[in-house]
Amino acid sequence: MSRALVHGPRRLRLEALWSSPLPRSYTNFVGRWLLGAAHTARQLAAFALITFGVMMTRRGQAPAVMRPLLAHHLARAGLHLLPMTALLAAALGWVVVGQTVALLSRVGAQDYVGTVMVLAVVRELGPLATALLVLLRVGVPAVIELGTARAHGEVEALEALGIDPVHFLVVPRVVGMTVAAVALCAYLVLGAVAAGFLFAFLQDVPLTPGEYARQIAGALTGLDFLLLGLKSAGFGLVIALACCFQGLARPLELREVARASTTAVVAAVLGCVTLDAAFIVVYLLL
Amino acid sequence: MPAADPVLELTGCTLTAEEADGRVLAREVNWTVAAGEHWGLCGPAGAGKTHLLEVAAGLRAPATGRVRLLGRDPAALRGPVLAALRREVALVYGRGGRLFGHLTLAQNVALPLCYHRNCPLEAAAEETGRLLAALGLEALAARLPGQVNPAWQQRAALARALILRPAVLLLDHPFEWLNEAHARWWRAFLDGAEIGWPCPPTVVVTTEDAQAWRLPGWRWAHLRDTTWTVEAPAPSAAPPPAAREGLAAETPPG
Repeated sequence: MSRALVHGPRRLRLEALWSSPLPRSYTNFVGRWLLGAAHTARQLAAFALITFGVMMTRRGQAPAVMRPLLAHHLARAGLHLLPMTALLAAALGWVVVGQTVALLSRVGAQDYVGTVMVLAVVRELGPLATALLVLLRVGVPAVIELGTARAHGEVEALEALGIDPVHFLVVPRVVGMTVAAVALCAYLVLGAVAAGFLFAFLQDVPLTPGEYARQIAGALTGLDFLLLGLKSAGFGLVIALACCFQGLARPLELREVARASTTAVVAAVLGCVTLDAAFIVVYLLL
Repeated sequence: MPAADPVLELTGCTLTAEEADGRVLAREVNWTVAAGEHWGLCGPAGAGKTHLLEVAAGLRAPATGRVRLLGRDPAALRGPVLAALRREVALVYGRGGRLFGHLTLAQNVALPLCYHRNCPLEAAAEETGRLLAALGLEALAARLPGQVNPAWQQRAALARALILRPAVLLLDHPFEWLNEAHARWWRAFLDGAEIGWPCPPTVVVTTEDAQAWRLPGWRWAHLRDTTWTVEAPAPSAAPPPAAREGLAAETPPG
């Protein structure tokens, strides 16, 4: 009785808490965050449309200046990331096979090593790992470069010279990161598959190269190649647009560049995750 | 003597700041710059002189009012026609000229020429070299903007604007951060001294201190507390001494 008396008011308070509406400050906070996110998404979509518009309308303009610039960004986003991609591919292949081979051998299902590689690396981890690599090694520096250029007024200087800043600064980066994401993803998948077999070989898994290749070929469909290309290109595009948007689309001061970089990373990761979820739905439907 | 054609016309323009407060920088700006005129715009820091120059260059639209550049309305133009009009009106920003930090001075100067002519940066080396030599920058051509002092950066920004041979030159605070030797060079250049490269016939300069830069034949306007006033033309007699003698003395560091 005394215990009920002691705990009664507390229970009452809890019930009152559950039945009471959310504090206005909390709902306001969530509401503001959602509205802000929707506003940013709308601005990002507008920026993407402007970029595509400039790609179309200024295609072929000043190729003598733009081609070296494009080659520079392709090399920077693709070629310069090859060593890191190779390292990541080896780690990914070893991790996936290392984690699964023991379990598969225990249940006599080592025939599925190749299938696991396809499911894990080709469909999911490969594009995601490549996207993270491109974001961190190329996307973030792009935000810093563009944000600094914006803060120093170089964008207005370009406009004053009759040069479209989107054409000169954004288009080469978007093309570079998109193409590089596709190419690096292909390298990463091939590297991970090779590293996976090497690890299986070192673990004395009774699996010949021919059998491993047959398992992988059997697990792959034509659709996998198409969706792999589309997914990695989509990731590259989302990263490039998010980074260029945060660095360039708004007037910045130097002290705001660091915050813009963080925001770009968050926006790019959210965009990639959303795109990945959409592709999972496509996989499930097909 | 017939009046020269107007190259810049601002009629009933109101300028507002880009920031969230959207405060008014200038009201009722009525300003006509005729071909061949030299103007000085004077006003305190933050008065909106740079904003006014950007409006005059067609880079920004005024909140209200009408702008005409070389007889055309930039707001009504798009694409290559607008780009061609903008090339006729060169705007050089102050405080180092906002050069592109990853390009050398020579590449900075060559970039607009090559972009509009569609040629590699190397192909413009001869023309760029001639202009850099005319402005005393040949020794610094291979340096990045961050490796030279702001006074030389400002001169490189001038070269970047001149390479397109504009009809109108708008200079935003060109005299900031200049030592006396550089200041003499600029005064002489603006006064029409022969340097081996033509100065555009129409020049507009902003400054916070009009007294130090009054040159013969210049007209002056003032922007202060959102009020725009234009000085009556000064009598042509008794021009202040020109400063051409400073030109030859100026040499870049090795």
